[in-house]
Amino acid sequence: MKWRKLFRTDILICGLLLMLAGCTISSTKVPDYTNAQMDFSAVRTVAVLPFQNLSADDQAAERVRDAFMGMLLATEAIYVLPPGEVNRGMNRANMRIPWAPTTEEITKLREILEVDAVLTGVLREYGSIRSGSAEANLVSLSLQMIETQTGSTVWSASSTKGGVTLADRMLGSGGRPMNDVTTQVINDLLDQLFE
Amino acid sequence: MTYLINSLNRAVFVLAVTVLLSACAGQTPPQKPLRVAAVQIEAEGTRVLLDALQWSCVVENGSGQLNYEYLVRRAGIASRIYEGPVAEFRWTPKQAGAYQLKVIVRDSTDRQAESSWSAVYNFSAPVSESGLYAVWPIENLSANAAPLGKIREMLVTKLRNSGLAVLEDERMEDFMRDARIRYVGGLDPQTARQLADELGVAGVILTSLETWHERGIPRVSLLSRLVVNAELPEVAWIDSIGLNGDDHTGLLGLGRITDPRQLAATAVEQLVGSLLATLQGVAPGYRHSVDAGQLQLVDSSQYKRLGYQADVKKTHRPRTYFRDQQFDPTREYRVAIVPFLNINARKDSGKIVALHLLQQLQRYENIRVYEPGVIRDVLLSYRMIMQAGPSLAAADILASDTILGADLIMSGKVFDFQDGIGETRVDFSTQVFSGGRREVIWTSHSYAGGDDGVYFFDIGKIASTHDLLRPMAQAVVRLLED
Repeated sequence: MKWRKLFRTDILICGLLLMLAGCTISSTKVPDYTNAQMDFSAVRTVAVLPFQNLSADDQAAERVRDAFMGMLLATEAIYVLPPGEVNRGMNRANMRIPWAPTTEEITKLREILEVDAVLTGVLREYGSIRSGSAEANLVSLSLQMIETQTGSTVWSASSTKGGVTLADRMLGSGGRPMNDVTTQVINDLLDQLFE
Repeated sequence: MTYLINSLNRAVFVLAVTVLLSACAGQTPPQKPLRVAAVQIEAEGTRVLLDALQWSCVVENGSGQLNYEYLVRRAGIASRIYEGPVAEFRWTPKQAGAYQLKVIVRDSTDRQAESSWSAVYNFSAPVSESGLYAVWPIENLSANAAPLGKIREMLVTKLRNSGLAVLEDERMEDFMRDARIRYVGGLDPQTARQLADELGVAGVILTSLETWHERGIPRVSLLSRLVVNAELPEVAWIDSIGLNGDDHTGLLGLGRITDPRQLAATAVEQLVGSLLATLQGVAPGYRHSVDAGQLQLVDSSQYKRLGYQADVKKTHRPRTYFRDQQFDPTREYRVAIVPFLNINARKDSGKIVALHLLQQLQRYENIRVYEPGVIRDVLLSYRMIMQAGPSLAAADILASDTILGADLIMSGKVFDFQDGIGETRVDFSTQVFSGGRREVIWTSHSYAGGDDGVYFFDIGKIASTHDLLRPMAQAVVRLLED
């Protein structure tokens, strides 16, 4: 009789935990794409083009791009051209939409900047989200690597971090600072790139 | 019998000689030791920034490519100023003081020879207390209306009371009107030359008002620097001070200051004290010690009095940074800081961050930072507009020996700069470009808030952006140089 009571309590606790876990906003993992034929060790120099900004913050894409360029350079695996040089190359290549370059524009960019690949990106979310009384920051970014020899996409990945967690709901905290969430997203994308 | 013995002796003798000679076969004669025959040092004057020491080293018995290492010693700390194949070397000390010099030579067989420490060469301060100084109108970077004329008046009065000769206001205003000078945030070479030739001015004191808050708790921050009228104007001293009305409230708040002018007067007094210390040649500086293998502080006796180092917490350090492995921080570098880009930050925050970094870089004896007015002049004369930071072409111009000759070009972006009453927040990134290698050798991203790590009763809260930015800039430069 006693064990039945204990068993019932355990089930109740497990059920409660599952329900609470369901309340969190899960960061769904989107599978990344990596071209199996591509020799990524041949990519020595890249240009990170300005990201498309789909968030409400006008300057968010520039913030995320700057952080991404610094962290990619810090891996010491790839040399990242400075943004001023990328800007000069884009102007000379008459690139109009940097987040969606044509094959001709990428080929031109290769000749001007002598880069092995270009990285384009879309900042899908950058800001705070609310769920009930809890509020937290969320960043969602997707990136593409385009090889400049042929203009084909060789890698694509996306990541979403932040959001309202169980701890935010229980303790009423405002989530992680935006810069920390941005760093988490970039680290996740770099892990995907170098895995 | 005698003939037989003689013949035998002769044969043994010939055999012994042959054996001895054969033993020598294949062996090279012993090499003469590598020796530094002479080190000629000629002082081309006695003034720092304007004059130099000319070294030439003569080496005997070296084989193959020779590698020269030039060392200087001041205040008991020896540091390397050059390493490479050049036997003749011209060097200008950045700081005043007594210097001794030494050369270490290595040849291709890894043999080493060194000279003894030379006689002492004394270099006096680039500017002295007897020179004539112009105090430029104060540049307002505070984004608020401020009594700039009053603050300048306080500065001039304090300088005169300290015994410095300051150019009269009428003469300076006439000069500025005749030369059509409107920009007061820097000094270009042409203006510096005109000031020296026409008015006999030895240096110009440029001051920027970083913060000015009158409402609520008053807050004042000033950045001031002395630019020497050399062939290329050079920063000889820079310091900053930030004061809040509630810094020392004391019992029942009796120590609270409500008048920002009172704060400005205190700030001016402290800045003048710091300037005088430099003019007397007692300002501390960081040097890379060859013996200790790390940075050491020279003249540390003035360290605390001048408030030399801010309290750098973990949160002030760059959150992410990269330094190229090939970058040698012990070498001597000429650094050009181009204006930082404002990305959604308040007006002039890019200039403020750049000035704070200039202040920190200036403290390292192996680093010479170009006066911002010189950089502005070059950028304007070449019509360089940098919408996204310096490009390779822009860096090439700044690095060209015929134009500026910068070894490193520092730039960056400011994403956030909140210096209103309430929340204090700074967010900026830096990038250093090597002019010679045409590559990025440093990037960093720093962000911090005044209330980071503060949980109870605002203990440890940093109220002003100046007090927050100062350790952040210090941490960036320290990581670059360490």
